[in-house]
Amino acid sequence: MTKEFIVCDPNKCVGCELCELACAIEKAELLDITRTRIFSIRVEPSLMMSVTCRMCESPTCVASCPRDALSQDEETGVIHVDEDECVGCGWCVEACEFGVIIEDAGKATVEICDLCAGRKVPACVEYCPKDALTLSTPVQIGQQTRKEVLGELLAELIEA
Amino acid sequence: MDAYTGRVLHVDLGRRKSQVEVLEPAFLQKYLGGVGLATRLLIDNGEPGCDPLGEENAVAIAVGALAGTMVPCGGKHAMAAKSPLTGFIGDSLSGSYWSNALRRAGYDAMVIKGKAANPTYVFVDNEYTLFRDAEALWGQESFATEEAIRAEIGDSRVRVSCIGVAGEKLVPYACVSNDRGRQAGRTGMGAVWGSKNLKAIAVRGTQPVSVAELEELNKLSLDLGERAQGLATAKYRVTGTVGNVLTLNRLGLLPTRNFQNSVLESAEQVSGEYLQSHFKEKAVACSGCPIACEQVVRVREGSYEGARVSVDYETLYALGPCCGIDSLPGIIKAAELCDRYGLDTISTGVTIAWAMECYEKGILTESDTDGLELNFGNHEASVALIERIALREGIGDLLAQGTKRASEKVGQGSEKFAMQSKGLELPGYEPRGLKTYALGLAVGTRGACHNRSLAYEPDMKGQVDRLKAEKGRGQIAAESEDLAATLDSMMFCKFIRGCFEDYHEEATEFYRLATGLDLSAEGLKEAGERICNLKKHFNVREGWEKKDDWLPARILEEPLPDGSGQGTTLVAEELRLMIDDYYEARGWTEDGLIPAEQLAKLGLEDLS
Amino acid sequence: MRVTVEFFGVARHWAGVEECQLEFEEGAELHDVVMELGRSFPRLVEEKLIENQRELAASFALSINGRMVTQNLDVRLADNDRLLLISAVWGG
Repeated sequence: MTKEFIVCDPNKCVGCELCELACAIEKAELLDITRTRIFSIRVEPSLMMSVTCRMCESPTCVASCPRDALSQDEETGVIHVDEDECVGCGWCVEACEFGVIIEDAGKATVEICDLCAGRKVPACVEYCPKDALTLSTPVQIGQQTRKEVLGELLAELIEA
Repeated sequence: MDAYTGRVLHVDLGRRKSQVEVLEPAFLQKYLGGVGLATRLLIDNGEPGCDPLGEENAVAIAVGALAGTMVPCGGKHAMAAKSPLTGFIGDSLSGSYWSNALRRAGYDAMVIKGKAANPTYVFVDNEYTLFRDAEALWGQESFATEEAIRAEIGDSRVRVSCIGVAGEKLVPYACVSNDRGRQAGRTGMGAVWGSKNLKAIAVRGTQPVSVAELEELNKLSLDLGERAQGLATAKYRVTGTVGNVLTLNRLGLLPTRNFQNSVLESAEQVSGEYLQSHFKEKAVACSGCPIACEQVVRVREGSYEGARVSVDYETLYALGPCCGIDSLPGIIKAAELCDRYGLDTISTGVTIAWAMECYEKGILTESDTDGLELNFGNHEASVALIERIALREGIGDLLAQGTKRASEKVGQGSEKFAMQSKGLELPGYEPRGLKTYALGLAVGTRGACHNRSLAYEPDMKGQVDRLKAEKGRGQIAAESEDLAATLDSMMFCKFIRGCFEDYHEEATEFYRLATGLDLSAEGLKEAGERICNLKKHFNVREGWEKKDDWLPARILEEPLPDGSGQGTTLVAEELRLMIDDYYEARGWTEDGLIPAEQLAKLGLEDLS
Repeated sequence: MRVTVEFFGVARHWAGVEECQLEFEEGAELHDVVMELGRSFPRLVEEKLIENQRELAASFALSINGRMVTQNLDVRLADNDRLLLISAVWGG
């Protein structure tokens, strides 16, 4: 399974919140901030990032659903919501360890990031002005981290 | 009509009542939003001739047409009230998330009148407006106030605009803070809030914002966001505005030691480059901003360890070189204190610089200064003064009045080096070396302000000889004021202005796609002129006289001390000539008054 | 003849040096300086600070002995001129 999800580099994120609007526009065709599936968080004046569904292995949201309305796509890891079964009870909202499932009050169902199925690049990734958001796999994240850490170490060695 | 909600929330603090006024599209199109709309609402709701700190003064806050949308840099808010510092129009902008929340709560603007019996905060919770007790918040710093209100409401996404202790103590240059580190900084809006016992306005806005053509607007926004990563914003992104320090210093335009010098010998130590390499934590953005100019810095060691704040050029200039201070930790600490107490950093710094000159000249002695040695360069003294100013203790009570009133009180020639116009302290560019800009400072409706005029651009771009005062500058200054007024009312941040190829054409296209209202480029230009006249009208109503458009004696009597323009003067006759030229360009009388036909031409006949 | 160019702000960041000395034939103009800067500091071209080899982007200016020049670079140089390459974008 080549599981990709949306990753935010907190060093690049400036906290502009444009990703939230990009998501709402894409998924709800509305400038409605309650409909975003990605969330910009500012903990400190200089500590910020955006977070959305991380396509967990053995996701707690799927396990928690009393009506089996949630299922995980084996290929992509995306959590599908069966809108006929979902009644918006919110168990999954509580169960999600990242707090990234929202309830659509109008439809009484939940909504979860689906990487903008049918779109080449997710809207938030396309919109991010600082390229802080990327679509990555755990393997790629590991590679990138190793490259950055070693790059810094080597640069320090050269300076010393 | 889309984007606009066509609704103004009127809040009467004394009667604890709120009501909604409906605005017509034609009215909104005339004043756009932001500064334009706020000024018009102030004129209509504030009592003529009122005491700025009295119940009859009104505070009008307006967002722009683009607030709450994805248009880059379109979400700021403007605040207008009669200024306790100048007695004329006070208007101040802040980059914010708060503005988006207000739009999403269903409002284009708010008007606050009256005075609460006790410390109060207003909670605009979408369609509900609640008056809440702020007794426990009174005396709290601005950051702590925001957090406490979010905790009390139990929603981390509630946006808060609030005052610090300086506003409560009615310091006439107290600011209003929002979103942990942004401020409507100048002209003392914080004191007006304080006089109304208004500690904060919290907003929860979660309703959708409609726009006329979502898909097209989205496309244009993405494109502008892309352009905002280009050369026109490189300065703001790479060094932040603090990159100005070394350039201005090299050109001999960095006001130093209260404008006694225009070069600081040790400028390298307070340069943007030094700040970046030694103190920078991160560059951050306001809402919807793809530029991210704000430099969050932190002191990592020494006696100011842990001080953390965002520093822009004006703050750095005022609390640094203007006070002869070349210690960045000292400047960062001072800036942090100003933010916590809720003080305008420019007025604070320039007032301290005035006190330092008084001390060095023996006009103020240690018996006046609570024993503080107020020599230029003494950052410990400046840090100590900020707390006294905010709390109005000892010498702080004198300095809390700003340079104009403090110098009138102290006398002994100190008025000549009180670096203010209309009571507002000068920003960080040396006017003797930038003559168009000097004119802009003198005639500015809110006092000595660079942001409302932008007149340094023709000087700095070489479109005119910056060292020469001549006829023709009036037209240039008027046009640059008009441009600034449209930016401040469309509510485009000025830092994105360079990303437009044809600003008026493109800005109106954004406006049309968002609101569905047609506005031509010419119409936008005219709105800029209308808004500048509107502000002038307010000043005239509040007793403005020709002599109020002027510059400090130091600028007119002492030649430029250093740099490539060394020895250049700006004498009174030259300034007079440029001011008269400006009045003529504006279509005003020789006395600087707006003739009735000029008002009518701009659609302001109801004001004559 | 020899002229000195000092870099400020973003230009310094990209040039990687604080100043440089350049040699020119008599009669050289500011255009020639810009061309030479482009050759010596390719990053300035890469970042589009220098356009069409010999022009300056609108958001930058050259100060020649205190006088600001942005667009009209047909200004004659003199020996020992000191030029400052600065941002023409202000505000803060």
